[in-house]
Amino acid sequence: MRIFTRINMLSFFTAHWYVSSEHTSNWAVLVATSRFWFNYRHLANVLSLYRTVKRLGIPDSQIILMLPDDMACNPRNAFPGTVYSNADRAVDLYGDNIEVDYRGYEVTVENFIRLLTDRLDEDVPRSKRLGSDAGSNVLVYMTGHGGDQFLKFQDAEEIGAWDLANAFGQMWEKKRYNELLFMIDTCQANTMYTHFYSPNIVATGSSELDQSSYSHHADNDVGVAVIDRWTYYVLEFLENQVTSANSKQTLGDLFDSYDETKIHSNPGVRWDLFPGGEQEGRLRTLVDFFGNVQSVEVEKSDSDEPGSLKEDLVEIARLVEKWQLIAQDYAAAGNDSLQQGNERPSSSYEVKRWNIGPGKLSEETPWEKRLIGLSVLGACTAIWFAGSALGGTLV
Amino acid sequence: MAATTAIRDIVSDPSLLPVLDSAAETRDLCQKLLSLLDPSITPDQNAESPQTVQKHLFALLAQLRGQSRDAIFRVRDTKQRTAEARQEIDRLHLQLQNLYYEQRHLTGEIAACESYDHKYRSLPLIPLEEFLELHPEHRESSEHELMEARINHEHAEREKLEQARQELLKRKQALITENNKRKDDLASLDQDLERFIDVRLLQSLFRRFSKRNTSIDRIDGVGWFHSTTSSGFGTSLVCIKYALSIMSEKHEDQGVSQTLMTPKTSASSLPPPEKPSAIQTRFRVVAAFWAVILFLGFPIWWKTTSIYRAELPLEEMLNWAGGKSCRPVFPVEIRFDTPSLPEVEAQQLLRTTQHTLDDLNDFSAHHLRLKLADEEVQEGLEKADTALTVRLLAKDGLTSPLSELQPDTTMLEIFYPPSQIPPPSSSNSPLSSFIAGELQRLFAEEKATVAHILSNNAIGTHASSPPPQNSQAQQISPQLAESITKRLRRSMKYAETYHLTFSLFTPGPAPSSWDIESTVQDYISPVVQALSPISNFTIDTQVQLYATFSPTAPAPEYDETQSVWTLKEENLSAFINAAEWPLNPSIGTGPTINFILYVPAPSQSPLVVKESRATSWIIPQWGGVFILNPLPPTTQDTTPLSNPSHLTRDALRPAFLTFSHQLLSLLGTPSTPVSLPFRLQTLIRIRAATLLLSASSTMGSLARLTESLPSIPIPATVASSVSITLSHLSSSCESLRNGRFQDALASARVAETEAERSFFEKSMVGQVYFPDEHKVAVYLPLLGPIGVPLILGLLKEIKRIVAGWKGRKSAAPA
Repeated sequence: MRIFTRINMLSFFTAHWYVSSEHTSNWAVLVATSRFWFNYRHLANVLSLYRTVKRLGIPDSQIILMLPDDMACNPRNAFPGTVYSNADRAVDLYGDNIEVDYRGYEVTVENFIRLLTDRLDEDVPRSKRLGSDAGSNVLVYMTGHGGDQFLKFQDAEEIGAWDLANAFGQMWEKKRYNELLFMIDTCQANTMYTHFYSPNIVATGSSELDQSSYSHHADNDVGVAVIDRWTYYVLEFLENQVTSANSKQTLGDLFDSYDETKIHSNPGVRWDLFPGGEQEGRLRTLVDFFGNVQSVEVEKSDSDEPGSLKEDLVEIARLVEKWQLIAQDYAAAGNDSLQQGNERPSSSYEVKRWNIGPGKLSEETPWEKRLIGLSVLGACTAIWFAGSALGGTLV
Repeated sequence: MAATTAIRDIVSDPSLLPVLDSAAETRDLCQKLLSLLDPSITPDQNAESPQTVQKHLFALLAQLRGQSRDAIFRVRDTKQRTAEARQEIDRLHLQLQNLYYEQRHLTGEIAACESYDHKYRSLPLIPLEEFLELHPEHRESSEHELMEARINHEHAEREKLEQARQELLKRKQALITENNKRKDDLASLDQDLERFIDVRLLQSLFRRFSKRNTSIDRIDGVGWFHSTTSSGFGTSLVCIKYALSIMSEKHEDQGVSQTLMTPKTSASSLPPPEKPSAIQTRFRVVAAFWAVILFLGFPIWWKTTSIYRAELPLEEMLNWAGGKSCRPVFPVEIRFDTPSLPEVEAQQLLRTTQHTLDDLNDFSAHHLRLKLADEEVQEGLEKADTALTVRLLAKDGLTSPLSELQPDTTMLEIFYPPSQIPPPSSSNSPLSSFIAGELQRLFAEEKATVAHILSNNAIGTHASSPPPQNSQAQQISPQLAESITKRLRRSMKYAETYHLTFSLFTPGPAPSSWDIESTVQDYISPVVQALSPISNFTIDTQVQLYATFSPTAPAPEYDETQSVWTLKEENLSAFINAAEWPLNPSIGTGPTINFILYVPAPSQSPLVVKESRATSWIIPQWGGVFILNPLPPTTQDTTPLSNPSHLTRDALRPAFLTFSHQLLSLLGTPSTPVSLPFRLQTLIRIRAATLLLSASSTMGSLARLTESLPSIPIPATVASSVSITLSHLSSSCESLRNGRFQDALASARVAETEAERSFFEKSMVGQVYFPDEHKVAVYLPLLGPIGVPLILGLLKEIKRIVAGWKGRKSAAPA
């Protein structure tokens, strides 16, 4: 009987939880994967999206921006210190205020997967970590040069669709996201999300298998293409339709705005991992992923409900008084024993002074390694000599 | 005159002599005329007159002209003749030349003819003596004729010989055709002969056979075949077949022997048969190669390509995650202090209250256990934490019992009229039900929270089986449920260490200092101390002057009616200038809880939230904000407004009390009941449950990860972390069951830390996935060229060994 009632209680909360599948924070991971001047547009893609999510309220601390190259300071840039995603050069994406978390050769497959799965060193700063939890909506945007089920990172390596799927799988296992929107703009982009298996993911890509994704237009003064087509039209939608963090535009609206004649490839959307499938997923608003839900809770000083500020203040004041009493007693005791009248009441609270001496980098002694190396060398030489001596006698 | 004589010497032509004479005469006459005309000379009277001389002269000149013309004509004539004569000479000279050339050509021709080497010289003629003997008539003839005769003779002889040769050729051809014809005949004869032999053989065989079976003695030739087949003797048919097969075998044998005979000469080009020692060496070489591959190469390959995966107790981990290993229960112990009651009555009251409580309770995991304050602890069990002490006090003048929770201890005082002591026999009483109701009310929120946490955890595992809805579940009011969800959403994720950062921001130069150390000491330390069983805390402070709002944030508006500056509630999230305020310090590993004290500029003071006129708010999972409006200066003060440059402890008091409250909220302290120590105890229980469940689910995640991703390495440290986690989980669960929540929380903290460490182990990032075809592409170019000769060599050796073994086996019985 008791178990039964407990189940009922659980069911109540279960139902409640499902109804309010809200998220409590927003994170964005924006990744460009290609270097060099002629890939200007990929960095412009990412920076445009960075600007959009920032405009819609996600703070820099919750945006992980990975830029493998610095186009603003490229010597070929005719407009030093700026990056533009449009030939009209109306908006400088570099602006005065961008925070790049991973730059240059830090943008690697390993770092990206470590970022998603949070398998980072303890000393990696929090600004370089994806601190999402079970209540976080995560936007992952990637752009670069890709192929059938892979995306090239820098010029040296590539991430496969399997690796990406496993990373998301691990994120889901560790409850590192509530819902995830995956966007990718690269050639054959839709192949990248074919292997996903973890739930609550909506994925969209710019082009089908065996299709290229094209750049939108080039700026004659910059000298290279400045943005890709799919990203351009996504951004156009976001800029024109999602003007504030209170926008009611949905994912469905965005995906319906895809125009294949303009994009020159067939963008794809994957709904099947999302609970409720396409019907449910289409209703998610864009600001669920591109905006920030930082709701503040204003504390009314005049309300009387339990746990309100007013009551708490009384409580804490009382606690403080009690504490002061204890401290005084303690100080008195100290005075008695130490005969020091003007000593400050000390408590278990302590002000820590950080005093870190030089640390030793490696724990193993180098002599051990040298010894091992020497003995290996000696053994090899002995074998050599023995072999040649034996061979001599035989012949 | 001398000149005239000189000219006469030169001009010898007689035809010119008269000319010369005339010329001389004319010149004399001219001289004469000149002298006549010369005035210096006195004219000679008897001399002729110049006119006559002139006439004379003219005549002479005419004569001279005529002679000159004649002379010119003659000269022309002479020239003509000379030219003709030269032409003649040229012609003759040319003829002479031609003759000379002809002569030279002829002499050359003659020389060529003489040196011409004719065939006849080299003709192999019969010697001269023989020829002369044959034809004596030529003995006298000249050499030329002799030669001619000899050549003719030779010619005739040769023609004769050629004729003879042709005839011989003809004969030869005829003979060859004849020969071929004979050969064909011979071949056909051979075939006939073979056929004949076959038939004879058959006959003899059949004869042997028929001797056994039938009485037929002798049957002749091909006709016999027909007769037997047509008469349908099955046995004989078999017999024939048998005979035929034997015959063909025989025939083949012959053929083989023939073919063997013919290439006997070519067999000498094959290599000589291998020596046994060479075979032995080859065997050793192959064996050595394979030994290196099997005993050195293969283990190295295995070792270097294998991924170290420590053994994890997957089953156990999954059990923990599925809630099979431990069902968290919360037996909350409540002590009854009954100074005014005899023990029997107290026991009775306790029993009935417990009974009523159990009836009221609908959530088995969380239940209240009542005990008397002086009740002895049972042997072998450690003392459980006392969550609440109920002190029963009799008080006169009351009609119904009254309860009062002491706000700074965990003590519930209940005053009751002495008449309501339940009689020992009764099973229920107003007092006991009152106490039960009070306790139920006190623990309502905690119970709901625990239920919520447990149910959330259950979602992952039991989501597919929705349990039936029941009206009893509605006992939790929707408001309470909502406030619980809200609080859980607001509270920070659990961490071992939290960093509290107190920041003073102001848009101007003042205030630039604050009594932060003593303020923290006074207002924050007590709370931190109270929370110390749950987490560790470090405290940092900073002051940031000239901190402006972000340019995109909406500016405060001035409210005329209340003469305050206001911020709209929906714009509060943009209040913090995340880009410029240094609010995300990377301190250690734990998360940072930010507390912002904002002192507005004097021109914008006082600043409040528009809707509620509040000055503080909480940003969920991030921190709190407090706007400190400094007390306005005295109204008569006309000096330009400025903030105080130093904030004293008293000025900071409201802010830091609010921060303490915000800290409690952010850590998830429940809002009821009033007593803070009680709430902190509740927080301990909630945290213990949360950590237990989260560590368990992390274990489950790790186990599923281990199963689903075979490519990631699992180092030994993970295994040890997992075993630590599991042991602490079980000890935590045990402590929970015994009601020792502090211990449970301590164990659960260790478990959570270790579980996180094991899941986020740095080296557990899998190798980048390679499809199998990529592996083939990597290995094949390397191993293919090496592998083919090795495998073929091995196969050959095996074949040889097997053949040798078979040969020995077959040789052994013979």
